[in-house]
Amino acid sequence: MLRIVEESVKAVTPHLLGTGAVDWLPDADPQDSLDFLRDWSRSGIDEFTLVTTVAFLALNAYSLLKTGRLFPSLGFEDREHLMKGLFRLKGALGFLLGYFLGSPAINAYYSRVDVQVALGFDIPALKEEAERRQVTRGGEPLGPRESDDERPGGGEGA
Amino acid sequence: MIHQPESVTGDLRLTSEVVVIGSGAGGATIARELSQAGRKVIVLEAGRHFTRDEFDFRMDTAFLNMYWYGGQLLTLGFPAFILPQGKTVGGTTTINSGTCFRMPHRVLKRWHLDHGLWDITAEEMELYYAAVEEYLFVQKGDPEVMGRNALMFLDGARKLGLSGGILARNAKDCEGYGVCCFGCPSDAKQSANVSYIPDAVEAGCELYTGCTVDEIVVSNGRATGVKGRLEKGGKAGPSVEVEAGVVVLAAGSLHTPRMLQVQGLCRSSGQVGRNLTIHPCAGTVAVMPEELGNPKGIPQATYVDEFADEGIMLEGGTTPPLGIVMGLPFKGRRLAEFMSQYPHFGIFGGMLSEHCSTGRVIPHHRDSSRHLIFYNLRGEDTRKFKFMIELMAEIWFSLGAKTVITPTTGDVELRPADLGRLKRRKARASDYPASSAYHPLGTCRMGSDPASSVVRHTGETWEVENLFICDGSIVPTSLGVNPQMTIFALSMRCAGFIDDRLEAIAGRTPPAAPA
Ligand SMILES: Cc1cc2nc3c(=O)[nH]c(=O)nc-3n(C[C@H](O)[C@H](O)[C@H](O)COP(=O)(O)OP(=O)(O)OC[C@H]3O[C@@H](n4cnc5c(N)ncnc54)[C@H](O)[C@@H]3O)c2cc1C
Ligand code: SF4
Repeated sequence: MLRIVEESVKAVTPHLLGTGAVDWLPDADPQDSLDFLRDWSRSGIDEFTLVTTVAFLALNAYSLLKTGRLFPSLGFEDREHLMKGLFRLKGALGFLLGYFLGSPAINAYYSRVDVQVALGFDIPALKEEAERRQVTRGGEPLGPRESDDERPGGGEGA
Repeated sequence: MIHQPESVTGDLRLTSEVVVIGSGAGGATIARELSQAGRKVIVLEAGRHFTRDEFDFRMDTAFLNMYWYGGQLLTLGFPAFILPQGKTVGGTTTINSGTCFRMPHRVLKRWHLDHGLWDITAEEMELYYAAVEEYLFVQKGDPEVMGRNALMFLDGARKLGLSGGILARNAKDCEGYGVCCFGCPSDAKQSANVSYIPDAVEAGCELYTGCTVDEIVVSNGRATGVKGRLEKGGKAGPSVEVEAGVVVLAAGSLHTPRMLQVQGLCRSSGQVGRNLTIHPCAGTVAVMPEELGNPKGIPQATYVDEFADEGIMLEGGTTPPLGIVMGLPFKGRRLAEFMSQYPHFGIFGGMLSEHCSTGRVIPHHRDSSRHLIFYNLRGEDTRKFKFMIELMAEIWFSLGAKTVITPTTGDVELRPADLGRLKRRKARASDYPASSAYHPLGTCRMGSDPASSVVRHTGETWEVENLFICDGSIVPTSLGVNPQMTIFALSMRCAGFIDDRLEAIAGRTPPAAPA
């Protein structure tokens, strides 16, 4: 993967996720976005990686045009300003550009267990519960479930 | 026995009565039926085997481990549809929502009239459906675990005078963990990986996982086996060759036609890869005043079938945050603020369950192990797609939604007053960039005429003797409902014909006398 694309994937992360706006959402880690894109490229379709690469190159071309500098070398405020301009693009083109620029950061962030727990999807508690209520085809029905309050972790979710 | 690729050290040369390519709804059914009938069966599955302990409630790991191409398969056309398909033991059933429907009677009648499939009778199908339903514990979902989201939507629809109900599912003791599409963590969902496959293996079937079949061996117009390769640590490993009396191609509606096309098999009708139907889907997300407890609940729990005769079915329930966020057009601060309302999200989807737009699958020009899928939503279907989205928005607003997110460019975020504007819009396929589909069917359709179909009603191809196709690709029309039950039932029916063929083969070539 091109270095400029890798750096841009990390650089766009805070601007795309905007997590600072909600104080109880965990902070984003730009390195997660890059790791996600690398995993994704290995298992996915070449064209997806290609289009994502093109989207990030387009972002840098736009940045050069507007500021004379590549996107990762801009300060936070300038990057934010530039991204806001892009977010205002309407129609299918705007959607698709946002989709491909956003995919690594958004997928990586909203896949995180701590983020999902914060949103009310308490994966560790549900996993524990699933382990206690395993179903077998031949077995008897599991019988009445414990009430929510008695379940470890129950009621923690939003 | 289930063989993971790591346990195989050298090239494999195997013989069996039947070799099955793919372990999904079609392949797993054949494997169980024939193994239990005492036949020697080998199944080769490109995906790997995972168990409930490995299902971790996460969409991202499920996509990477159990979906073809990390879940990123996209159709080419307007709109583009994400078309995810399973690549694991149990095929797409392992990662599906578990909804169970019998095919409507009118659809079978159309198969009779339009495709000459008079041999498939309603009475016979009812017996197969009943057997599958009993085997897979098919029953209506339990309202106690299905989550508020689905029940609330159904309630809203009924208050507007629309018909609907609770969906039947192949789940036993379902707790509503909301992650059926990423592997059921308690084995409640009776997908093929916990039902047909273990039963087949217990009856002697050998299943090789991580094994991609590249070639169907054909000699003198007869299928005699397959060749493939195991994948180890992301690299091509030992080769696998299986000699068999019957080859069953059950690689699903996208890979099955591609494999035939790459080898130039069954070409004379010109129908291989054509007639693709997909049940185009759209989702809506409503921001409700109250918390709905997402994503605990059944992902597909209730339905609205008021417009089923017009080819529109609404089915829904919950989905984890990642399932929502990728379809949103918001970025930055707006995205975080919107997602922070996730506990208040009402989530429901719909599909065009009967549609006339069809597409086509062809091998990728640069890499024949992949396919290209062409599909355009046309004419009346586009209008129905738009209507379906409006209907869902209308139901949410009637329930007090503050805003509803639709997949419509320019009308993504609607307030109640915007509904009229949405309705007045002209329907254009390119307006729906965030669409998806889950039910590819029809690319090797069954029929009574070799000039217009690829397989007979028995599943055997017209052109290659002893080559049977048993998967969604033989279903000749869109079904009006979710397809897994029909694929299970048809495959059970095909298993009987394969068994007969094996009898005939045994008669033709008597087994060699013991030395
Ligand atoms: C997310 C999702 C949710 C769904 N929910 C529902 C639902 O609720 N109800 C319903 O009725 N239907 C549902 N479906 C659809 C249903 O699961 C499928 O229609 C059904 O599983 C198709 O069966 P099949 O045998 O045609 O193919 P599959 O089940 O896809 O099986 C094909 C198998 O072949 C393997 N394979 C492919 N190529 C090769 C090769 N070259 N060598 C070896 N193996 C190969 C694949 O890895 C796969 O395991 C859903 C689908 C999706 C994607
Ligand atoms: S809702 Fe949960 S428990 Fe029920 S079948 Fe789906 S994943 Fe399994």
